[in-house]
Amino acid sequence: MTQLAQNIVNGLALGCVYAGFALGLSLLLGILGIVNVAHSAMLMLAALVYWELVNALGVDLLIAIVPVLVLFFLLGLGLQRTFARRMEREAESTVLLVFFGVMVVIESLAVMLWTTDTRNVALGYLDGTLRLGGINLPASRLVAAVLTLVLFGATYVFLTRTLVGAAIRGLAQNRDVAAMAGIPVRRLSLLVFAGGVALAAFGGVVLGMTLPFSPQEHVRWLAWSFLIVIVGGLGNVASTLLAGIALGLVEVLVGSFLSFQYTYLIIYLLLAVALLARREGLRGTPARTL
Amino acid sequence: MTQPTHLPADSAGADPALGKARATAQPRRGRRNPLLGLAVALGLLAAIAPFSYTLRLGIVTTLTTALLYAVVASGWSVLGGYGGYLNFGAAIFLGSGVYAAALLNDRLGWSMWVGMPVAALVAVLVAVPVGVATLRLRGFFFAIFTLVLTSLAQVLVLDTDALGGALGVYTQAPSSSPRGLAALFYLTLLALTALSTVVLFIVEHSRFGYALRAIREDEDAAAILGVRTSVVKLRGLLIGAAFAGLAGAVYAFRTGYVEPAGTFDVSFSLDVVLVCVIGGLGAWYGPLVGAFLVVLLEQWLRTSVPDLHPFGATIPAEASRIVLGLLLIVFALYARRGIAGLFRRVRGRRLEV
Repeated sequence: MTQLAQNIVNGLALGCVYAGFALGLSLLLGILGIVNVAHSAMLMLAALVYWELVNALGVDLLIAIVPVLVLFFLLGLGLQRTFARRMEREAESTVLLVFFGVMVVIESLAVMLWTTDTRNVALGYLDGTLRLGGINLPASRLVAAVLTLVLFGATYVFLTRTLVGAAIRGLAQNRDVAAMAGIPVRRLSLLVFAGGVALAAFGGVVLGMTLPFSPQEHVRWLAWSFLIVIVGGLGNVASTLLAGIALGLVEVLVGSFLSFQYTYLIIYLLLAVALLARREGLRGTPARTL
Repeated sequence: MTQPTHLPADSAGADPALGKARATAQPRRGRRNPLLGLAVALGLLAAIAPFSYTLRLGIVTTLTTALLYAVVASGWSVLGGYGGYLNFGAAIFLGSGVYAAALLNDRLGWSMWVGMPVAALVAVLVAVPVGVATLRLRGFFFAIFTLVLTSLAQVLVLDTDALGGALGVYTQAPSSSPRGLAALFYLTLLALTALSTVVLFIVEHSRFGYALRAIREDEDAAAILGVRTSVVKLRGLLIGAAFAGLAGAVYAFRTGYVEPAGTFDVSFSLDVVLVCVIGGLGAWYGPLVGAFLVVLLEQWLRTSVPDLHPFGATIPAEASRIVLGLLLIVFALYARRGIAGLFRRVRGRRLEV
């Protein structure tokens, strides 16, 4: 019984972390219709930058998050200015090819600068384990989960309760009509793209806090993120979180009675099933709504 | 739509019999039989066959790699180039062929020749569920799925002891001199390249090829006009997988030792995509041109550039992949028809589909 409760707690925490991985991908896809194949490479790069700040420069674990997000926001601005702006009107295959190229560039750059070693962020004061009634939870994982929940809440409120958020939803529903209604489509696209990249970087921070990572083993997180996005519905903040938590629970519960590679296999099979059954998301909403 | 098919070296035009498929193409003077282009390509391939014994061993090895890519890329191009469905998991099908041939050799002592058709069959069998699961969907799902499947394949093979696991599998190539072996692989892949080029040429000029292009242009319209889109796409994927499997069998014997991480490698998939994009999507000679260009460029970047030491700095070998990634971005954005398209532009032809 305690074991089951322990598994559920683990699954919930891991699921929040996974949801954190997927949020940036979900928004880029849902709002701008950009398939960011380089998403997991961005996660990994952000985790490495975070590692550099914390392990090499000794910046505080929580404070270091800010420069990482700012840096990737700027990177997103730069990417959007150079070529991603064109992506919204390009054929889907062009977008795929371009972001596949971005993935390769990021990955090679990371290997060049950080080698292929597997790394862990030094957790410092978050290294302990919390105990409550026989259930253990690493403090770092709890912090990562809470940060993710806060970010999901903030994104949800921003998109549904603010004027800019409403404009962004308008952009997602119909770009041309939004432009006619006086929404500054270009500036908002810039903001959303850079924000999406910054959210990917947040995923990277969460990755760095909770799991080991290396420059060449990021495609797995792309699979996980896509599974969450497909199950949760593109760009749908609330159900992205639910899908993430569901994935975390599935992974932990399956992992408790099957060995690691079968967990892997089952999650890939789930991805295949999700692709076939739920292209439109859990709620059956059209592909690009919020 | 269908551009006349020709090698840059000649000036062949299209056969008037193909006119109905080129309703949108501009009229042009001096149409020639596209078979002339194919003949030139095959002639060039035949002309480089003696290289296996005349050139330095290192150069033969590089050319063999280029031919390997040409085979896989030509197969990839059936669905990717004409159908517009990008497969980012060419390594899965190559790897299936590699493992099939290697295991048959290691466990049962089968030779490369017997292993090749079996490897192609295994690659096709692996491709069927992948295609059935993803090709009914549109666009990017297929691309993403093939990309992430590569790492699944890696993990599965890594953890399955019956497939060699992390230890890998050794293959026993026929005993011969280094020169004889190099020539064997070179000539085998040369023959496969010729075969794949002919197949791609036939695809380009067949109803099947028109159906694929119709899917690329507008899948709904194609379906309404009676194209059985799922079947056509699946068939395209399977042809590509078969060639990847064939090439994989040769690869298994060429390296002598196969292991999961190096076999199911995303960077191989990247190279295949790059070869096709740089060579030109939707032209039967694109993969051929692209394979030689990309492999020679990569070789040059890997070996020569790090020795240049600009401003006294050392350029690590990974820099070559950055260049390839940037090339992919630039070609995808500004030259969708690749080198083949650039030639057409120079020749003042209609560029767009």
